[in-house]
Amino acid sequence: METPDARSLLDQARAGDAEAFGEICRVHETRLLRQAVALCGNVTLAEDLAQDTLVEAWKCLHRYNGRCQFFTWLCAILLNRYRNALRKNRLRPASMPGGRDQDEFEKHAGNLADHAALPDQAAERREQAVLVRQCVRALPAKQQQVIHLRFYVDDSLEGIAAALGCPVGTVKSRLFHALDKLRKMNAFSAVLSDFKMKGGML
Amino acid sequence: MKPCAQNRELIVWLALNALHARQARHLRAHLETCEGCRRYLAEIANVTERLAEGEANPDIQASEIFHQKVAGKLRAAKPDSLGEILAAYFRGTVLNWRVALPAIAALAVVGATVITWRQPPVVSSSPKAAIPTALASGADNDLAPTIANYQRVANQSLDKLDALLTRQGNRALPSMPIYTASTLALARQSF
Repeated sequence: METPDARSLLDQARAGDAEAFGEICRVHETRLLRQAVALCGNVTLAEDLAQDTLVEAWKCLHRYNGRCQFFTWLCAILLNRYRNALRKNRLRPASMPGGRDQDEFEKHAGNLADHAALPDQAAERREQAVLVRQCVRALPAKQQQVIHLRFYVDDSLEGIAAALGCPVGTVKSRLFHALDKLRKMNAFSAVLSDFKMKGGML
Repeated sequence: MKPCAQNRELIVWLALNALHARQARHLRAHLETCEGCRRYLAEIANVTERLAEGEANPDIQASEIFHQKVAGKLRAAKPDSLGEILAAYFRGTVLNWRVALPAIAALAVVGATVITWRQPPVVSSSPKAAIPTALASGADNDLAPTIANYQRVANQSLDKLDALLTRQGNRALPSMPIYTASTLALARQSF
């Protein structure tokens, strides 16, 4: 699933070479940071989360069995750490509206995204993306995980199952329940109807 | 119009391209005739499209400072040693109730079997329990031929009583004196 170079680096890292693992991190850290920002909604917290994820991956590298993409495995660790942090109240979900961190995140994301889009379009797109994330956030944690790994990490169902350590059937079942719930959510329906009315892109 | 209940999961998997070709063919044939299922597929497909477009922050980049921080933390942290790996595996196995509960049950059964196997027979000090032991050792021959003793043995088993009576009956009797006219005369003289 990985390129020969990546496999070679992985072998070196497994042999205890921290520099080799550092090179692997360089490949994945930007994508991982984006995922963390999407989850936390706070760039500072997201950086801590992503860094801790990479360190944990280094410490338990022996657990990676190559049956999924390395990035999927990293994201599974990220999601678990995020869920644990939420349980300990160290983090607040990104979708909670009205907070200072959330405002900061929206501003930051708005500045970064859609440089080419008109301000109105960019604002609409940002607003609707936040709505979608809020809907996902309302799902049970395990369903959030599979939605995140399927749609934002974009791995195969087999890869997701390997990363989460569960059967493919379990992943499919969680996806079914998650998508069915999202379909029923009023907020999501509002996003969809709005999207249909405008007849175009989010 | 509602979708067919048995097709809802299949429709979701079709929207995710996770359905086998044969099943997908059957389902598509069904969709042509079922408006409820068709509408459900359209709704699920809309959800998946919105989710797929929802990836945020495409322009965020990890800075060199970020990488240096990661590199520093990696140097400070060491990969788990073999002992830690085994401990983590053991913790993971033991804390997994699907493994732990059967293991505990199996250990309990094995423990109970071993204890039962090694437990010595209980020796009672009551007189009733002493009788069979005495019988087994052949000491029953020494039991006084009294009604009380016979009752005690009979309380244990009628077969044992029968065996006891047989043994006592076969026991050699003490030699009896032979009485003759001369011995009777001597006895009469002595009285």
